[in-house]
Amino acid sequence: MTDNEFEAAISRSGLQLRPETMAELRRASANIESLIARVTRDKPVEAEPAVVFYPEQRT
Amino acid sequence: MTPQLTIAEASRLFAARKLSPVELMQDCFRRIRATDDRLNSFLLLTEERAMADASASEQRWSSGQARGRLDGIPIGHKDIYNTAGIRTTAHSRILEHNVPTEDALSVRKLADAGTVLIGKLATHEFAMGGPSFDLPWPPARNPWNPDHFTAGSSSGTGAAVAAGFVLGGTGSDTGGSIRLPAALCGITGIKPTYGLVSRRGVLPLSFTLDHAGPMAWTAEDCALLLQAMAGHDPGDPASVDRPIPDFTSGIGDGTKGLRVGLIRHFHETDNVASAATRAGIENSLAVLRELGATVTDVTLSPLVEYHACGILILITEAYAIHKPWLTTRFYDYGELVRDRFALGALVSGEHYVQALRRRRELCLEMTAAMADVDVLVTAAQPAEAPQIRAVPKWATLEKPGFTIPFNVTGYPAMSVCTGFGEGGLPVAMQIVARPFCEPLLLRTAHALERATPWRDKRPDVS
Repeated sequence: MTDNEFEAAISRSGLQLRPETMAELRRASANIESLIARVTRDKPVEAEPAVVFYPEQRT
Repeated sequence: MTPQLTIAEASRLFAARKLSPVELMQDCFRRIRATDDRLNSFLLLTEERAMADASASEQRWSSGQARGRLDGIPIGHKDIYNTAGIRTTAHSRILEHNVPTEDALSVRKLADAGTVLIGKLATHEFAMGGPSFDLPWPPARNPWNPDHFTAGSSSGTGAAVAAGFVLGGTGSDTGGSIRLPAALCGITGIKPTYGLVSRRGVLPLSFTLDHAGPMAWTAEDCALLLQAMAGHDPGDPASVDRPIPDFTSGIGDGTKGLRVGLIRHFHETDNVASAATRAGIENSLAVLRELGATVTDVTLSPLVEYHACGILILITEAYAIHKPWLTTRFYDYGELVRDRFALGALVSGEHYVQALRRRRELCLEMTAAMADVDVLVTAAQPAEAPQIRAVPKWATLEKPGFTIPFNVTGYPAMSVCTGFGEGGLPVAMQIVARPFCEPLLLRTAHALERATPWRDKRPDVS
């Protein structure tokens, strides 16, 4: 994630952050990127998500 | 003052008319008043209501109309469980003056079983960030040494049960928040199967990872509390409609023939646990073998794979839940939780779906791994409790935790004490069963507790 990508993501979020918070999140963003890399490895195209959807709602 | 009792012991004394619910409740308040200013386990005490409830329980026991073994038992609720007419804050300035109008379903069910609510218990803010020192209330501290961390997020329940302020309480577990404080405070906690206990009225953190469950001194006490909490709730979309077994009837049946799968690489390679933690696991396995169990090694994906999947889902769902407050009251949160929540802004829709696809792969892997074993064992925490001021801000991101795999898969899991480390604080291990096999899980934990001396040692909080 480049600085521009990071700033765009925060800007899109609408969060109003102080510079020190931005800096802290920027430091932690590397951890998030490494987590993302682990879940975005190649999968079969038909690999389904672990989401259960009931057409017949059980309310 | 009565000695510190388990729920099962107190109930037997009530039945034999050797102790009354009022006497027990008064002892709990005496302990709280004497020492909770050092432990900060309670955010709010409900003494007047507790006195009335204990008196009513006493009358039921006297007239032979006790509602069961939980009648008259003093408990506390984590302060993310809604309590009608009683402030529920999530330990946060955001909800500092929040007074719900309805009880969480588990709160109501435990009250219907006759329990006496002593008060609302500390939590990491919104069950996510902690320990925090910039909130309206201080963080709970570990009764074994108040300079040390309780872990969380069910920090107050862990501390209060260990200190004998309550005989049991509620927790919630999204990535380990029942099992982690249970481990560091030397008590027992169970995260039930996803869907077994209603989450209605429990403030959400991550819809697909959140679990509600009990914490107590022993597995038997957890079974008694779980019996009251479990059951189908049409008001919780994740709630499962299936018969609820009797969690205590076979709890003493032992573990002869039990097949244990040891996920050794989790705690010996992927996140190397302390020598005391590893010794506690090995000693416990030796005990289980003596009791007739067999132990084989089981290999799963590296712990970090489960961690990555779980953390991404957690922060994305938490961010979505908290977005309205994050955009309007960001700096009313404590630093730890607001910064952790804000990381959700960095996860795209694609990344979230990829995490859910990975989750399905990991669920299938765990199902296959348990084909030939009845329970899994690994660490619950890497070591005994660290100093409370020495917990890194991004600890949950930096090292993979042992507990989140079973939130990712929804499998039931418990933390049980396995001894004490070099610093004199508890160490623990985790036991995991197949979905809805809580009776076997509780039976295994109970057998271990009966065969080891760790339930006989309480922290000195005098």
